[in-house]
Amino acid sequence: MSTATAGSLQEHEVAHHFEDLEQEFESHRFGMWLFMASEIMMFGALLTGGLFLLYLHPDAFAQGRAHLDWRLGALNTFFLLTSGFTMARAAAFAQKAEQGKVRTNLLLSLALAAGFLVVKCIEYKAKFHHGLLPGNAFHGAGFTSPHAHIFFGYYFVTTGLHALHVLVGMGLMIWCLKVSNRVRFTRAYYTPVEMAGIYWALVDLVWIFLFPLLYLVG
Amino acid sequence: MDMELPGHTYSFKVLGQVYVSLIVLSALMVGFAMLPMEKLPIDWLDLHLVKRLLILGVAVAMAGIVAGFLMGLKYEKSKLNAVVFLTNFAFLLIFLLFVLADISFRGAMDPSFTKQLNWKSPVNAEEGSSGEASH
Repeated sequence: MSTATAGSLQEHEVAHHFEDLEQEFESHRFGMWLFMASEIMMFGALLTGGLFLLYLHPDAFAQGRAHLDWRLGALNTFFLLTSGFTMARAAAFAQKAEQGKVRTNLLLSLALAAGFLVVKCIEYKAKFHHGLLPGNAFHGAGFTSPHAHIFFGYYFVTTGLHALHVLVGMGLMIWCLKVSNRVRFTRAYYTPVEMAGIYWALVDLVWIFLFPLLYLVG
Repeated sequence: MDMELPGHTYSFKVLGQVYVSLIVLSALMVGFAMLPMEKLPIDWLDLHLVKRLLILGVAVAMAGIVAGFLMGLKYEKSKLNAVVFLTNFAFLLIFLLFVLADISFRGAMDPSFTKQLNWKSPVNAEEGSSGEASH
């Protein structure tokens, strides 16, 4: 065991309504997949809507995209993919009962997620400064497309909802850190890190489609 | 304890390969976006559409890797979980078909809608039939 507090850690006890650890794990995983299904329906509809808008207003998307910096989008892609990697490593170390390395990887994921949000704030600040806002709040200059506000409406709805998911994911990482101070992870019990990892992979998955749709295609 | 262990055992080597492949595919996606395809002397093909399809293809490949390895769908023992996840995409396809139907046929009812997809064949039927007849 790699941490000084390892001796004070408790073994996980199977909840009374489950027969064994495997049944408990599979129930959690099934619940997680149901939740993932609802999330994919929501983001899938948003992304399909985005493709529809791109088809209807290609000029608005081209002009809107010109106001987004693809390098910032690429940096955020790097942050999210790397944090997805460190989250999976956290689950792998949890299986090996290396509590200290679980924490290190969770902290790394947390830092990368915070980096993503910092970049997003920088982008949002520039949009607010230039009046590139959704709906009637839009007062950007230099646009020839009468539908440019639609692009920014779509940009703020999708990236805002995604950023909200990033915040929830960060909350889950903090919760996993707290659990890791209390409960010993083993090959038989690593459920919290595994579930948080699946959720975080969904956050990655959504960004993998948002990044090209908003920053690259147009 | 003779109980079966839950989940699959993670491999650090596979995780490393997954991470590298995702980074490489991201770079490929950006690379496709930067390609000056419109400068190519090809007018019989919509190069903007080709570029979009290439980028979308890379995104789908990346999504497959994330779902398979980081979400663990590849190692999923319970078929029910995989069905729950994958059935979503069938519903998304239905949604996409409705959208496609809308932009294909809305113009028939609303003349002000000018973005209707053109499903008409560019082949001149009269010329085509006379050509076939001459053979």
